[in-house]
Amino acid sequence: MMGRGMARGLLLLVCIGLALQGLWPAIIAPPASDSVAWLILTQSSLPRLAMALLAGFALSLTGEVCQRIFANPLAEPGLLGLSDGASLALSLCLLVAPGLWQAAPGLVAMLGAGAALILVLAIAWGPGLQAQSLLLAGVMVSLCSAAAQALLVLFNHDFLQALLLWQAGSLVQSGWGAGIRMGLQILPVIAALFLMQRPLQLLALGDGAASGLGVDVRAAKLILLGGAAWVTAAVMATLGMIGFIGLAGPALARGLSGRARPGMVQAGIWGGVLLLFADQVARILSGLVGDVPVGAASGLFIGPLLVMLSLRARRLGLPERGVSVAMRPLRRANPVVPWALALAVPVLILAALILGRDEGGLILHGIADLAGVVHWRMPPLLLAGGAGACLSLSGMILQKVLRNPLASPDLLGLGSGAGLAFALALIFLPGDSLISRYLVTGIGAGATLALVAALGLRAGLAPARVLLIGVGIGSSAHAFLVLVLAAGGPKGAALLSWFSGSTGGADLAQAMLPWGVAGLALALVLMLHRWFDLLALDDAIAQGRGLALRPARGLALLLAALTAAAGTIALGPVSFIGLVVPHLAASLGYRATASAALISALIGAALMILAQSLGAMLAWPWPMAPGLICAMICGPWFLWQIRRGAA
Amino acid sequence: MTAFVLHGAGFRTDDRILLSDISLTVRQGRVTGILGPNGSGKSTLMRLMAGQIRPSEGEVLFQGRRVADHSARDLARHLAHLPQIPPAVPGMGLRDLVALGRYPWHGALGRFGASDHLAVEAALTRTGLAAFSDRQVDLLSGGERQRGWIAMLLAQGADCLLLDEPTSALDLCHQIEVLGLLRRLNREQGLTVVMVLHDVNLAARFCDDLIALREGRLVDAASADRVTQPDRLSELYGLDMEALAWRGRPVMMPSALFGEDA
Repeated sequence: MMGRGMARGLLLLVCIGLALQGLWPAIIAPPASDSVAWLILTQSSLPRLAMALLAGFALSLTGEVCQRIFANPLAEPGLLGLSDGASLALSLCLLVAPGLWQAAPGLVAMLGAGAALILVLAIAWGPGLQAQSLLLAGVMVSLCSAAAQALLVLFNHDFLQALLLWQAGSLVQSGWGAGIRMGLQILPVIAALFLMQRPLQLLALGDGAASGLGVDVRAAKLILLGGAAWVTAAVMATLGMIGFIGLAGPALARGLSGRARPGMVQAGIWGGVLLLFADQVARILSGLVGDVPVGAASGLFIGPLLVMLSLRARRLGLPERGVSVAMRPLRRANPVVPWALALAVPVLILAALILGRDEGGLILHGIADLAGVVHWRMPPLLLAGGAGACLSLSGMILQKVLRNPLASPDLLGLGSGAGLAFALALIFLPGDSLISRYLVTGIGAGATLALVAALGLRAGLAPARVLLIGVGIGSSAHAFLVLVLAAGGPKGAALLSWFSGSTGGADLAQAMLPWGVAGLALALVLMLHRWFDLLALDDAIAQGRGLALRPARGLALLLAALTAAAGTIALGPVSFIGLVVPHLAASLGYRATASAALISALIGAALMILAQSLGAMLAWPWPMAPGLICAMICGPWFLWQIRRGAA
Repeated sequence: MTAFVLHGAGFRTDDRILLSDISLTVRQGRVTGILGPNGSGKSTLMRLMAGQIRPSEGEVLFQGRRVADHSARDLARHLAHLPQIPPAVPGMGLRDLVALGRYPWHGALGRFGASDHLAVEAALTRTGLAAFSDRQVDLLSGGERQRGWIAMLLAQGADCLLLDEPTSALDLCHQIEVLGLLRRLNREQGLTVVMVLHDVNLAARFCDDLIALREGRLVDAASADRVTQPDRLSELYGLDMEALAWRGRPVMMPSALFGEDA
């Protein structure tokens, strides 16, 4: 194994080398102070280097702050809904007041991020400002704003391109002005964050211990989160979305320092180095293949980085045990619920078949229309329902086995993998040769699955490591996707509709496929439910009861991945359902694996059928993606549940 | 009959030796305590015996065969282990928790049959938890929760229990109660009990044999009376200990409790 010192040295050397490569012409022959080369050096190259270091430092530092507050290695300011809030605000602004977008996009992004943060805080507001409520609320706000934005984009393709560019992030600079402005905005706040280092350390001991040591837990969290949000929003407003540094910087610092808590400075410095590296590679790539935005490039590298860390690092500094979520836990399971849900599925399908809409408003279809209605409406309805059941089951299995309440099917990177395959097929294959999007997305999901499985096996299938591997591969695939989208031009719109979860173009046989997968998976889960109950507890306990951990966990993850693949292929990468539905089942009192699996599958199916039928009518004659509808309906309801649990 | 035999067993990580050259015998049907200062390798020894880690040198035999040679389920039918800090089980009912102990018997697919139900009920009754069986585990008091986990071990039907500091989170009254329960299980059902304890007087009272560890090495493995001599304990903990005689039994106390600066 490579020594840590060597790894550190090597990374620094490579970064310096890359930076020098860019500056080399200027170094061997210093240009005259009035030449164009001089102008490029002082007004573009050097500011860009400084910007990369500064932004990387800031993003990684705020990531570290969030990870400590939440005691979750997947936490970063983006999880609090900041990026998606900013993105939604920008889309709205572009649509309603394009003038403002021209004048001050940074201000708009800041406002959006601020609104998202305030919403999250308001929802999770309670005595201790509980970490798990905050995280869940953040993820939900983030998903809802993403859904709202996707709806806006679907109906207004024209401004797609400007937004996509912003989302891809760029460090290209012209002069020192932007960097200095950003520095002035964030440096005082970063200084304040450093002053909060001690309370932050105490918060890592848990709320109880921290307040016992005299920390005002709520105030400390407010200040820290507010500061982190400000810094992130400022960087985002200046440079666009540069994801993953907040996640990968601290992870890199942990891996290189060999300590579970590397400290804010270390995290910041390695974040800066990482972004510099990504940006330099993006610069060199741009020279070869055309514009490669750094946000995407950093995603490309961070995937392999996270995978490597999860394979190599002896201690990840991650909790290996589950974290519980503060929802109202004590409701007793009502025996009516399963029957009601089982009945709801056919009733909803029937209602969706009978009810229709035309120019005049709502109409009821008679027997005469039935053949046509069934022919047109049945496949998408069934497809949505089956995919909902699949994704919900997959989410439930993952949350149990990985012992993380934020685990969801897209965490395994399947959605991004399938999307990437689809995007590549759309762009590189001639139009007619695209036989079926199911085939293409199936291949993409399958390849991703094989990759995650192979790497996961090498990491011994330890939950925290599998999580990191999934996130890593997902982020790389996503980065590729953003690149392809940004380069894709008009074809981006077709992709976007797939991404928001659309059900068009299925025939009845295809629509039954996800039902088959869901049924099989459900049967397996019911049969093996004791494995899942034991796996969800703790390795020592499960092993002490005679469970062979690796085969059990391997099979559980495979099952989760297959259902996720089936759902994703049918519907597109809809993360919402898989994340939320298991929590819904738990809040109804169904927590033990057997009942939770059944209830989750039923809720998922019913929700997606409802969403599909609403989507067909709301904006008639334009169909709206059921995945988005689902997020728009359930999101607020779920947020309210978190609110009740937090109060 | 021996439950465990260790021959020169040791365990090391890349940069640290946690346990080295441990040779000892744990007899069947006895209560054996493991004593030692913090960091002396007690939990590591426990995990070696439970088969959660493999010895990096020497071997650990359970009922005559190497622990690793037992199949996972077979081992769990004879050996039940409770880690030091059991995980939180949000929303799980007590009966469901105890029922998890039946896994080595019914396996993944077997029916949860009459014998399983009987074992769960018996375990709940034996631990005095029958009245709480429908409560949620995370709402029970510390003592009740610990008894709940022990009930799970009982439902497992193993003839040997390994417990890592089963009393560490309990008040004095519940410590006596849990240890008394383990003692009765040993006397009445012949269960072998191996547990890590911190209180030397409780160890002397409730254990037949004691294993004393210090800095990863075996200091003593003998009957409880022999190990809990003041001079041997002083050496083990690096702290002067004295024995008081009270109602015919010795009580160990650190000398510092009686000194000037106490």
